Amino acid sequence: MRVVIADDAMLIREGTARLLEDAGVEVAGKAGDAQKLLQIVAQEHPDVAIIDIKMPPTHTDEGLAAAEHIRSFHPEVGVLVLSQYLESRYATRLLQHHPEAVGYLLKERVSDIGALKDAIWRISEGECVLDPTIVARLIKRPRQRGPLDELTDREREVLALIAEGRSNHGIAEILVLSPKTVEAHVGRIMAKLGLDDTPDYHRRVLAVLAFLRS
Amino acid sequence: MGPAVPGFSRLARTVAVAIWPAALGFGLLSLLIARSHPGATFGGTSLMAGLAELGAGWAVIGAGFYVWRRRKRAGLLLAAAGMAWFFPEWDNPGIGAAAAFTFGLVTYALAPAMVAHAVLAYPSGRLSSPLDRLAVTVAYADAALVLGLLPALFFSPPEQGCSLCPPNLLLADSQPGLFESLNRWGIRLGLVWMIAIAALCVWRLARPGAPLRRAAAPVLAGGAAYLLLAWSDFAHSLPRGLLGTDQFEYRLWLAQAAALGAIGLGVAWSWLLARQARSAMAALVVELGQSPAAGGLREVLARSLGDPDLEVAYPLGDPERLVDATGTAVEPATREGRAVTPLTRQGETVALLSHRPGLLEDPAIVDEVIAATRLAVDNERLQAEVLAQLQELRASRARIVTTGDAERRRLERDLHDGAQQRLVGLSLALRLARVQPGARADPNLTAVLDQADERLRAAIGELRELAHGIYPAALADDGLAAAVEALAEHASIPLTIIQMPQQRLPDPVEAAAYFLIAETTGYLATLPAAGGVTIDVRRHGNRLAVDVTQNGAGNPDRELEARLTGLADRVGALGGQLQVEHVAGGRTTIRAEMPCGS
Repeated sequence: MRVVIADDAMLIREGTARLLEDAGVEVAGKAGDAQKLLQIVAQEHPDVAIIDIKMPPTHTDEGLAAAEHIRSFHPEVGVLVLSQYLESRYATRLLQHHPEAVGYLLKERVSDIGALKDAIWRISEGECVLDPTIVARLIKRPRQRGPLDELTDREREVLALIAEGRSNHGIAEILVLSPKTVEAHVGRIMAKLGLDDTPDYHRRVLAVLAFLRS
Repeated sequence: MGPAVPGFSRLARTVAVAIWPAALGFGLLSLLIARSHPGATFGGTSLMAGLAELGAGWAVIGAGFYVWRRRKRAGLLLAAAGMAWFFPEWDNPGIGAAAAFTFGLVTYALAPAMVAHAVLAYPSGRLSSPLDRLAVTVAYADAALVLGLLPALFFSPPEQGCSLCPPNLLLADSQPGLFESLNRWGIRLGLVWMIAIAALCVWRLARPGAPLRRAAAPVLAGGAAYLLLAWSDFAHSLPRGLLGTDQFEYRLWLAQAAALGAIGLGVAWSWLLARQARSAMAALVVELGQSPAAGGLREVLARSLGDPDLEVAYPLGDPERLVDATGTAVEPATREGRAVTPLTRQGETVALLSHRPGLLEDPAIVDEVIAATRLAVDNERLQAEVLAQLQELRASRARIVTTGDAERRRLERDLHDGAQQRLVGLSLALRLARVQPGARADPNLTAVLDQADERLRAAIGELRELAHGIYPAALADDGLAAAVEALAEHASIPLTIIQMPQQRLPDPVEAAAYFLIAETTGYLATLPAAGGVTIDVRRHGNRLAVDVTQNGAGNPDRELEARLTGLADRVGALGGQLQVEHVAGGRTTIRAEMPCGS
């Protein structure tokens, strides 16, 4: 597994690199801004680029723009965007254009090496990854009575994992269920929410996210 | 001495008034003389010639009378020029009386000089430049001396071919040769000054921007035409050595009569214009008496002066600063193709009128405008001053809010980019410490490090919420709709968004709308039995209406009022309004309405 890291804060950039290297991930390059990142990606063709959303010069969404650029011009490279923001709109913006092999995690996950490694591996497999905190907040968000109230607790658990971008196989592993049971849960959830039970994994994530955000 | 002055002035008035019928009578008398011996000049040859002579002379005398009522000198000069037009009739052989005949001999060539004088001196009655004075002096010397008095001294009518003529009372010595050469030199000199004065008139007509040019134009044009015709007559007469009465000169004479008539008509025209302006002023006085409305003075002046684009500006303290009736800053002087006339009272400029060039050229009209608008100008100026102060106050409030927002935004960024980054860095360092071989061997240390990391994460989360509350990044980056969406994800009660403007609005407007929504929903969420909140933000033209409605029960209380005060200030700083509608035991709507740019 080869990654590149882009963050304008040297401490975080180097710390993340050391943690990943300790965990057996090869760090092929480090960048302090988007331009340098794109250079390294073009040279090194890593499996995944880990990108801070805020980078020079304006410190707003340069990282997001760089991620979109990489997904468009280097489809073989997955991207993981790290962000300070809990709002789902940046994540949605990222996923909407290129739902494959992208991830959006909160910044503080860099020190949670388990979550970071899990995300990198899933992204390199082509899955999408959405931070569990963001998903949990979307599901817990107060709303008028609706289809969400019809779900059982187990179904809510499954729904959150779908929204985080997990495949049926991944969900089965986490909840220690058989793939068949998971499939049945997913079918019921989609029916209750009035969504098409599409076999397309990425479309399923987007449909669930759109439902949760509305 | 007291009673003597009115007595004298009554006499003077009587004389002054009597001059005018006398002048007209002088013309009639001259025509009768011409008719008595038709061969000598033009006026007596036919009824038409007679009417032309009388018409031209009377036109100039009449113009003189009109001008005289306002400007004595100029009027008298014109009247004198009109009378001089009749002088050539007086050296008529058929006149009979020697004194009258001699008068005619001396004055017959005076008319062009006197017309030139009257025209150059119009309308003040005084010759303004040394050049004018020189030209007129030469003209009088030529007409009265070289062509008038001097030849008369050497002209003996019976010896020089006029047996019917009455005796020349001035005759000193009959010298036909000297008489002839004096006349020839007089004509030569006349050719010079006539062309010079005609050129002066034309130059004055063409000179741009001179005040009163419009009023003087008919007089200058008629005078120039008359002098050029007289010049042609002189040029025609030069070979003969005498001014004569042939057919060509008859036509020139008729044209001269027409030119003088034009002077009379021109003055009559400016009289009509002035009368119009005066009746406009009268209408102005009546209108201002009736309706002193805001912005009304501009309307009334525009209507009565006939300039729909007319503008009124009031200087505020500092003369550099001008505002209109609504207190909005204006710069009338910078508008192209407009003239600016100050209305001054006791040396102080009370208002400026921006108008069509030429509209207020006559200082008399400006004076009348000042007199008629005195009260209305004072009222409107005071009002404009108050309104301008109000606008300044509003602008300053808006600046305070904008500065506050910028400060909030900076704080939010500092928290995100500074404190939060550091905490994340710290969390990373803890993690690195935890995986050190030494640490891994010590379960106590591992537990402490894990606990510290957990607290650190909680701090990061709290800091994030704090920063978001100070100024959401979504508001700055993506606008109101994105920020309210993010708010709906945060809120502890359901928010239903009915409508949001999708285009960006000015920052202060977005911030005011956002904080209104965030503050009120935050408060409504704390009420017991809080139901959902509906948010509806709509743009109507250049106004933005923000409605936050709570459908559940709950009464607005002091706490809400206190929170709304700050918000009302924010909305008010933008020139908007905030109001609360409450249906007892039911719905509460907090509505803000504010301008949101064009």
